[in-house]
Amino acid sequence: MIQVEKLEKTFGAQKTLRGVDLSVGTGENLVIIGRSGSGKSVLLKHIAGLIKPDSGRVLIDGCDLVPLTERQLVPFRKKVGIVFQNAALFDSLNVEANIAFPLREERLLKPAEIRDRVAQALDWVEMPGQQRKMPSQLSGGMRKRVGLARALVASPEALMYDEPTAGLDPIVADSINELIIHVCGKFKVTSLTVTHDMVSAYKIADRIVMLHEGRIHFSGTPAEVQACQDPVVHDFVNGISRGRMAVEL
Amino acid sequence: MEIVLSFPRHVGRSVFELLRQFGEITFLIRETLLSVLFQRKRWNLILFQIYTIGVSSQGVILLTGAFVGLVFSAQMFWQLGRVGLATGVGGVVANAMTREMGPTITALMIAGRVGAAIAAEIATMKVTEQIDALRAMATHPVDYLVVPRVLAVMVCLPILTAQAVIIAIFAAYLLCTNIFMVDPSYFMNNMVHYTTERDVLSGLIKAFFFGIIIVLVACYKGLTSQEGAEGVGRATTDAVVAGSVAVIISNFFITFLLEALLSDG
Repeated sequence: MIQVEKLEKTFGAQKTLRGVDLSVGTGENLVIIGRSGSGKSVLLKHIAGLIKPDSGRVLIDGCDLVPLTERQLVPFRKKVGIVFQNAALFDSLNVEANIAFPLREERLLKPAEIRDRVAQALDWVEMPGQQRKMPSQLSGGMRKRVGLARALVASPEALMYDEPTAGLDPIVADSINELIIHVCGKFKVTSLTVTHDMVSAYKIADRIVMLHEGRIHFSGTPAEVQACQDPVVHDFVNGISRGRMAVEL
Repeated sequence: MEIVLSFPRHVGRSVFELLRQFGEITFLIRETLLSVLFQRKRWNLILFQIYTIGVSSQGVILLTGAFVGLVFSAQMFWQLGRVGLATGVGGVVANAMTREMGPTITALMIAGRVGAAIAAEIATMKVTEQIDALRAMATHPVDYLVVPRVLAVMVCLPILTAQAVIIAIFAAYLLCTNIFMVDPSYFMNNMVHYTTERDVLSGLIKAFFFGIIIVLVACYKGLTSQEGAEGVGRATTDAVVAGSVAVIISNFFITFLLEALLSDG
């Protein structure tokens, strides 16, 4: 469903992506891991069409997004939902208005139908009856759930999660992981998750790819990642700071 | 040698930066125009912006207009009094307020109050990925954020300007007739005689364009703000400064253009 070919992106003097090749099959649950600043979120935003690459292609269902204008991207954006790292809820709108946003913009449903869809989406993310709350009244985990509900309500074919468990305690993080697995199974959506949380990666992934120095360094199942003896992968998944990935302080 | 070269390098970089920003604003104007012409209008957002820009600004505009009218009429009374023309103060105040001071002062107040708020709101949305979220949900930020504000200010600024002018002339009338003892009939007669429909039209057209300039500059600064709290702060300050300077400079050109278009001869 999603294909990335020879993707390159430079910010100032920093070459973030140096020719990324990636393919995500329909219904697959792919997790992208890598160190902070390795370009995981940048790659995700390229796939969502939010950033233009310096070179390379991003294909969704065979169509290249790179040459398309903002308005030409609209039909593809309806296919792909994204849950942002900090949820990116509209802070001037309450939970109901946030979740209803894509439906109201589409203008295909009546207000009563939109209200029902919002209530249903809140049930999916286990937050029934929270319509009237403002984003500022929600905890980090709740904000991510509302972000997921907002992405889900428009019935996308693929969902992308940017660091879904970042900043959450282990219990809440696990509930988010469960939710991602549940959503992927229930709605048969293709799922693409960016994280450096290995507990989360092992739990939700069908396949894990590691982004290192701007390229895909490794690709395999969670079991293959755990068994991998490649020093870069080994040091990262085991959190070893003095190996190949030594941290410069 | 390095010091000698650094000055032209700095100037060159500043000119390049200015041209880049000018180019980007031109693209924003084009995108806004296309959206106004061909995209659906979000009337609820436009009404909300009319309330935010227009209704909420009335207090400050009326207060400013009244005091500008008082000070200007007092100055005119003293200066014209020296040459025995003190009774002409009504005509001078009315003409100056409708043609120049009303639209300019209202625009500067709106640049400070509304321009800053727009830039801060949009810049905050940018740094918290809310604008990316808008785009990811297939909503163009220009359609949702810029167009409702531009359409609202097109309606609001001429009305606010008219209010400022009316209150300024009324304040001047009260001061001149009650404190300076100018004959009310002289004041009124000169005001009507020296202020034509053309003057009123000229002021309102200026206000219309000043409003568009202020909102476009503020939206541009918000949409291009840098990351973090510092970026939001800088976008807000830049919006007020650039919006005010743009109003003052454009006033010169619009004045000449309107004089050419509206003059009898």
